Amino acid sequence: MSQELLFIRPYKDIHIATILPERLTDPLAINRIGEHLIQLNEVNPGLRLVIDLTRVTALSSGFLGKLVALHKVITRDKGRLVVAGVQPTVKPVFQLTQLDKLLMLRKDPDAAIRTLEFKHR
Amino acid sequence: MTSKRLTAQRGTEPIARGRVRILLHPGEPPPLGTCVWRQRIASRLDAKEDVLDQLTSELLDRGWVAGTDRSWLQLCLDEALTNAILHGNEGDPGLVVDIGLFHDPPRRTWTVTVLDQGCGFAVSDVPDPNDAAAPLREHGRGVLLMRQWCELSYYLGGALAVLAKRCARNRQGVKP
Repeated sequence: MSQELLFIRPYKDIHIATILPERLTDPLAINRIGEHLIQLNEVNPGLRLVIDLTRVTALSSGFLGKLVALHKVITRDKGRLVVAGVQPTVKPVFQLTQLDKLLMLRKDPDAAIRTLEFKHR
Repeated sequence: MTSKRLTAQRGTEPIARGRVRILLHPGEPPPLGTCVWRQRIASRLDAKEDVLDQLTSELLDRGWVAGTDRSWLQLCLDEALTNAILHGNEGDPGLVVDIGLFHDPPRRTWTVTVLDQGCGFAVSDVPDPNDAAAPLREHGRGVLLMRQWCELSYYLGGALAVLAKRCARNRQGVKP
């Protein structure tokens, strides 16, 4: 995966995917990120994934669509997805589209990891 | 919120879905004021970033949009441009997208127009973002987001997106 788009690191059996661009509005970049994470789910059944949006200050409806697609495939395969670090400039977009109810949002990656570890017990 | 569908009128196809109302007109838009900026770009995604930055600067520098609204401005412009390139022009890089910025001093409004070369769309093709299944949909949030921040209308059957908003300050629109 191109390093400028996504950085994935493992923590125990949890994957933390940090989205690197500040502005996540390029549909081609969004597609590449989406395809990579869906592939990650395919090779890791029951994937427990944190998507870290700490660096992202702007995103498009296209990325929201990709998050929903990812949420569907991960939950279908009995995995869990948590979105972390949603910035104040981006939060209204999640609220307006009701994705704050569909997705688990946490303040930062550490809080997201705690959520996944707790739910795994 | 209860959904309410308006009766279709001759010459327009208005629809109301809770807070989201899409106005789609077959004809030309009304006069929008004085054109202060215009660009024509190739219908390619890599061509939109430059024009997005230019247009954002125009609106911020003239004081028509407050700096605190920068994110919303960029989001709305980006959604409109992406829709024109991917949906209106169906990703054909041989086509063009025309973007204009207008100012109407008496009404104290600015307007951005985004014109593609496609055949437009039907209101019924746009998913209702307020129904129960909406959060699980993978498309159809762009119009909802744009409508949240500015007035959004479509003309020429949908090929022309018109985004309008009252100027924040500096009514003369003189760039500092």
